[in-house]
Amino acid sequence: MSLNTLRPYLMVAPSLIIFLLFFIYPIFYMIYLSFTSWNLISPDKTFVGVANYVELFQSQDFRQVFFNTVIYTVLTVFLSLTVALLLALWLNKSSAIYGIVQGAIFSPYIISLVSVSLLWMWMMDPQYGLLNWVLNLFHLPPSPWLTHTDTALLSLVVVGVWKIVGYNALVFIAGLQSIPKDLYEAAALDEASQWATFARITLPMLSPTLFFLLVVNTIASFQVFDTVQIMTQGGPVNSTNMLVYYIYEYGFDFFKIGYASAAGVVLLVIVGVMTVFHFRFMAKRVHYR
Amino acid sequence: MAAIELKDVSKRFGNQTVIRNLNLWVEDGSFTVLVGPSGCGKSTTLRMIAGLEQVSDGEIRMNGDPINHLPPGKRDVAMVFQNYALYPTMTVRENIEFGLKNKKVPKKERQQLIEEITAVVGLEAYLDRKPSTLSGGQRQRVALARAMVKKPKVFLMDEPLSNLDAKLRAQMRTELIELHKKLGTTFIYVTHDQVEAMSMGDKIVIMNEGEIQQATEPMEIYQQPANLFTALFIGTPPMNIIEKDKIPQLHSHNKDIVYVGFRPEKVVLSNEPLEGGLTLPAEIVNREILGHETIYQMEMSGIPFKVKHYDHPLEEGMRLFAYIAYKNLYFFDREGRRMEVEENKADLQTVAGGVRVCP
Ligand SMILES: Nc1ncnc2c1ncn2[C@@H]1O[C@H](COP(=O)(O)OP(=O)(O)OP(=O)(O)O)[C@@H](O)[C@H]1O
Ligand SMILES: [Mg+2]
Repeated sequence: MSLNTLRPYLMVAPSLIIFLLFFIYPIFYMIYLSFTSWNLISPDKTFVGVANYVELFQSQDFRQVFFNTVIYTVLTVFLSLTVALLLALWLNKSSAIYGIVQGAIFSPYIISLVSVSLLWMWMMDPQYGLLNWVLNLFHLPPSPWLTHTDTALLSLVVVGVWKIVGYNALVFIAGLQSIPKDLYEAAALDEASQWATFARITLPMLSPTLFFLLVVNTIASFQVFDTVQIMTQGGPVNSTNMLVYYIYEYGFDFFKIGYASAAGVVLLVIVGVMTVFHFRFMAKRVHYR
Repeated sequence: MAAIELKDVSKRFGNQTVIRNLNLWVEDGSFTVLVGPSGCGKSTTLRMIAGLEQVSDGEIRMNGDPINHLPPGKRDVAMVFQNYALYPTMTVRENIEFGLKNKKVPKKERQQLIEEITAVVGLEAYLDRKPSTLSGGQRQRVALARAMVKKPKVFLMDEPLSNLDAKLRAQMRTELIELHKKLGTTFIYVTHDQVEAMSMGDKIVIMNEGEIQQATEPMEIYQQPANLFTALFIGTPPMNIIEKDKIPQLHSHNKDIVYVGFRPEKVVLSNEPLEGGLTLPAEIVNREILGHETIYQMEMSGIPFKVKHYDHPLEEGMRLFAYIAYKNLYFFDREGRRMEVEENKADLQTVAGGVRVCP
């Protein structure tokens, strides 16, 4: 092979090596580990076949964790997209005030969730928390927030939505601004009501943006970890335990690396399937150009 | 059908005045063309009529009734945008149907209207396609159909042909003229192309810097330009304008005359001086042969001017006499306003444009 035919391969080699080393190798190593029994410290890993998977699928806990994750994801994605779209429609104006508000709602996205989680815990404190104080102000019954199985998961959803809604709104605003103004003028001449304009022009024109956010948000929400780890540790009674925290718990608290890896593989497959599904089926429906 | 009237209309964007005290009367059923250089306020004027821009001052009336306060959808006007502004997520049928649906036209009637209109513009085969899959000309037709289906009183068109190639543009030009004849509706058409304006309009409104320079029939604009701006705007190549002081051959006692103008196609080239007009000794410095016509760049003691002829091309470097009959001379004052100078009309001599050169 001459240098010329080699050159392109040499050029991509560095990034390819990094990719293989840090992305592909860990995945395969995890798949390998999921067929073993290992406690992280002992030098020998025992091959156990599919035993970890059998245990996983028979576990009542894992089933609950899985459903928690699904409920958390559906609620977080739905609420954050809806609220973000409303915010974007309201903020899509060029004025200094709107710029400041845009910046304000975006800031949660760049603040570390770890520090903010502590703040939310304080706000959600049933006795002294700000949120219950506000509820009281409006003569509403106080909520137990993180301390009760009925409300703990929803409380995490609140934090999750708060975290990404600003980012979503910003992306929506960018999407709104890329819609040609003359479409709205044509609609005005066509005597379209506000609702018809939104339903027949704005929303269809936003569908690529919506699709992008749906994919990104779903994948991110499915892998929620920080808030669970800091605010609830999966409690009370496993009501907020979700996949990534579950994997972490089994790996680094219980040292059942094989079992944790099997759960990791399941997560990988779920996220992979979701991504493929999104692109296969939904990309078709949003493509109009 | 409707007449449109603009009374003392002004438009300001911030502190920049774009339209200044515009008065315009658009005849019911006319094909009125707004023409002028880029940025002169044509689109703004059209958009104010459509209701897409609010007037800063003045009033817009339709059949005598003020319509300033009406939203665009209630003005009974339809607009064809320069880039068509078709709804990309809707099919051709949905695009045409959208306005009808909003007006709560019953489904049966809608279908009938769509069939009728698509037959007129020849879109039957494309009803279920998205605009992105259509050619420029087809999109143009969809935009027209969308406007026509509403049966508006006034059609507003903002450079609807500027995105088409030359051949298609000429074809659509004819189609629009025919459409106007068939519908009999008022058309207000914006363009910056003088050829389009001359060939399509039965009334031409020439604008510059937010003011109307002249508004009348095409031939009158050509023959009786109101000022230097319109004289230079209509005609290719534009009218030759020379300062009067630089033409010693021209004798006139009228002190107000500052500029003299004549159209390149009205010049007669000859070997010897002719009577009854202005005769300028000149030399051909350059020529552009376009096949059916030739444009000569001529020079008379350092003053350049252009001559257009349809005859056999003459050689560069020839020294000739350029003759312009008095009736084909235009006179302008210092402000560029055209002046009627009666004394020259008296001794008219009819000499048709042509070449009188013995080779
Ligand atoms: N929304 C706006 N804000 C500020 N200035 C504007 C706005 N719209 C138009 N203008 C200004 O008004 C003037 C007239 O614009 P207009 O679009 O009417 O020109 P036009 O005659 O249609 O030109 P063209 O042939 O290039 O389309 C321009 O100087 C333009 O910069
Ligand atoms: Mg314009």
